[in-house]
Amino acid sequence: MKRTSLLFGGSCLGCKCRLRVQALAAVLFFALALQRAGAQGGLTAPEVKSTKPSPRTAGGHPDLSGYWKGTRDTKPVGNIAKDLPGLKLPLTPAGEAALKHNLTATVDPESLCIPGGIPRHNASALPFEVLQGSKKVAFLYWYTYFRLIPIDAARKHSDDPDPSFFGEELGRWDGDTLVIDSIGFKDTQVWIDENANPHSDALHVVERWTRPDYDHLHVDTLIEDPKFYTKPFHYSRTWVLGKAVEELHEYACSENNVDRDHLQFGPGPIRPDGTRGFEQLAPLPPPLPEEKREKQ
Amino acid sequence: MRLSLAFFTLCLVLATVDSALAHHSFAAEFDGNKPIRIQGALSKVEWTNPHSWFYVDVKDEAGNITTWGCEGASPSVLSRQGFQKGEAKLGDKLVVDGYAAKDGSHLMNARRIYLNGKLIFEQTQGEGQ
Repeated sequence: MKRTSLLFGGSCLGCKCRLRVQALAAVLFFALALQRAGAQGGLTAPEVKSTKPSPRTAGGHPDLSGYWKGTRDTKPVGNIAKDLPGLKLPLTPAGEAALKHNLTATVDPESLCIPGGIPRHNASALPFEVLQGSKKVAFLYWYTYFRLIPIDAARKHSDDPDPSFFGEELGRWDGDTLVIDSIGFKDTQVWIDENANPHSDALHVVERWTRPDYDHLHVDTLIEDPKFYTKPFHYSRTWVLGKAVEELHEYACSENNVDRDHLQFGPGPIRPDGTRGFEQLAPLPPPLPEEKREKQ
Repeated sequence: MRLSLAFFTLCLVLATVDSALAHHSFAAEFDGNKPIRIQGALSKVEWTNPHSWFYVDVKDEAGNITTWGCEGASPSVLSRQGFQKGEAKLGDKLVVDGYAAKDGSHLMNARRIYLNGKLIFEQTQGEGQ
């Protein structure tokens, strides 16, 4: 098998070197883009200083457009209880049962290439991009998901919206704050965050987005779900503006999802600090001694 | 049928986007209490989303071959490792240390990789647990 056919499915010998260089460049670009995507950043949001005011649209509203990246002071990331004392969600008995079901009988929907929806995407480690128009605002996510929200204070929610992962979303301006009010969520194949916490079809989310200066974007999220939570609670977070060259790229989640048939129910162990994973990994086999390595 | 080591390492970068893209929790698929070492020949590299994988044919004492799929570690670690010079080809010998899949399948999360006896990648404890 020729190298070109292995890597790129081609067999043009005359093009081999050029293809290889181009492909390696593309690979490097894509890999670095993904590294950037995953980076929570080395700074906290307050450590990122801004010298410019928030930009404004021709209509006078703050322009939230930009590529927004998380910071390392968002802890624990992926946990919707981040701002609650003891990371304790106010679950109803039905909510407790739903959490148990998610932990013991469901695979993370996002790992099956199902949209995470709202508010999960707001708690994600992944950057996102906002494109704001005068009548609509688009939130674009890695995994090639998006939500498109009308900005119209006169618009009302439907009497019986079709359930969806992002819900029926209505936007309006409240001074310099973009308010997004959402109802009509699905209640199956949904986790409200990466820790498998639940939400029901009674979920009501009110996001209040502000851009306090050029380099920061902030949301305060009100989460109401009387079926699963005894009282409303908040999730707040600040992102920082990415570099001008940073943007989203194609990410075809279902192209070759080897993991989907091997993932276990739930997110795995959750540490006391609210993050996912093992507190201690068992030691790996001892490193190969130098003399052993030479014989390989 | 040779793969540049740069390409191979980049495949590992792509193989590590699970934590970057949060496609799945490491602990939902792999067992941190099941460290494992495999040794064999590089047989395939899959250049696909949502993860790239590399595969190693492992021969037992009876000559039977089992193919293991290996997923890499966190991209932040790899970015510190940098890209190394040299070349690898399908058939080259790999020793891979990591953690086995919880379901007993022949998949593992790679944390340390030797290529033809040379350590080319190592992820420190604490990353991507």
